[in-house]
Amino acid sequence: MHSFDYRAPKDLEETLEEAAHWGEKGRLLAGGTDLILFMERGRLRPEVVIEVPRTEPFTTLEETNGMIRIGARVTMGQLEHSPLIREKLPVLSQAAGEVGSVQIRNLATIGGNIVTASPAGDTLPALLVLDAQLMLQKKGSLRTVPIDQFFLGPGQTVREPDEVLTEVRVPVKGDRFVTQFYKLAVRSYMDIAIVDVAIGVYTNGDGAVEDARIALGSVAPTPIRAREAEERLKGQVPTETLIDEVALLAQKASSPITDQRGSAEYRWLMVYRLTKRLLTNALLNSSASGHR
Amino acid sequence: MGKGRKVSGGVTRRSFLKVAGSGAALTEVLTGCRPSAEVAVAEEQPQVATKVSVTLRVNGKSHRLQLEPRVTLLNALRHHLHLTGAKPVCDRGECGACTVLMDGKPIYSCMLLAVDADGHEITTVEGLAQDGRLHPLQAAFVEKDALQCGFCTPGFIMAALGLLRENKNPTLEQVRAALSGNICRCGVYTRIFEAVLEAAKKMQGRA
Repeated sequence: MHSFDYRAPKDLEETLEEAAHWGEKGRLLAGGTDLILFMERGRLRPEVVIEVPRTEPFTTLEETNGMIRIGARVTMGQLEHSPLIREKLPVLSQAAGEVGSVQIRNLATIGGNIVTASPAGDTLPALLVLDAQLMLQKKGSLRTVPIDQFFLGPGQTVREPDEVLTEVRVPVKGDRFVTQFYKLAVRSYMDIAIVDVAIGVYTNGDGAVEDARIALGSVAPTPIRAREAEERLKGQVPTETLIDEVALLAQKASSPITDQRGSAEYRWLMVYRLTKRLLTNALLNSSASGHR
Repeated sequence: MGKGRKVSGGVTRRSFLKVAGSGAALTEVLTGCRPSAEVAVAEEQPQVATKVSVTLRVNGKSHRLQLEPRVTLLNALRHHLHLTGAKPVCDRGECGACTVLMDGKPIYSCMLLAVDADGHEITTVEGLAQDGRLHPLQAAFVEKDALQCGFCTPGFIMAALGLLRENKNPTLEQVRAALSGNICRCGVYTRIFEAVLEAAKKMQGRA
């Protein structure tokens, strides 16, 4: 690994100072499971590594006024096991629990998974389904970016070098919002996704879909939402034919590539297959809960 | 505990290897493993020293070190504290041989800067035996013959310990999931799982 200087700001204010001071020469370190690896391989050579402190708001994990606040340094392991996340955002808990191994999940953070912006980041489709809001702060300003406007390409985001992702805010949608997540990979654990699919449907009492989210990972340069597919569902009482049509629209939204994990054709087929399966499961679950 | 084992005349096995280390072939003969781990000792020495003060608390003892920020916890343990239980194998967070506990939770020590471990409680495999008696997990690995070459064993034991701290009575499937971040190239998985289940029973006084 190359030589670098290290800064350990004590709180948010000092972190923003360091980020402003170093700009593109600096790199923020949270869990380090991506950054250390990138530096070890020489892919990134920052002059200065700035450690995001383990303090508020970076470590926040709480619900306030119908909004769940998740600090950027909250680990995958915390999301996997937190009773709050398991109950209120099960799709995120499941996705976080499918990242890497126990050892990685105890270090890796949600902020890191977002900022690294891998097309295969497992929590990202879940966060897209949940309409997560990203709080980006720099000296003297704060902006909120909806996660579907954050990613530009592999490893590329709208975040400026002096901006710090402080926390993720997720609105709680209630019991009528039913979610599903599936990670397709060769190994059950410790693998990178071939395809990630996350689904959320909000149905009314008559079984019609009021709102829907379909998000895909590992099948485009960024994690994406299949908007045409979502639109097709809205206002409809789903039938088998409609679900098939929606799954085809999801497939159309993807633009997979061939790599060592799977061919473009395989990914393309799996987007259709998994969307269909997850959507069916979500609708079955929502009608089951509707009868209670 | 804490320092490398003495071989003779106050020379540790590691310091002897470091002196003899320019001959990688000799290292290979003596240790029976890839020489790169030993050669890395020379590469790790900083050229430009912008060192920071780091206090590592390992197995209940505090150690004050001056380290370059790029030194990983794994390298600090091995090269500065001479605790060689945690092994470098893949050095990219995939094999689990470097697993240690940080505040009771298993992590890959190759993916954490030593300076980031400052203020946290680190436990390595060297910290398990008490008064010359093996920890029940270590004893179960011996009893179940849960190793062949043994290189991955400390990592497996630390990952298993992390599991048993949270879940005193795991199922086989939970053991498999908890150890999925560790690779055993000899393929002794079945016995490793048996050893962990056996240790769980012993630690609860059920066997």
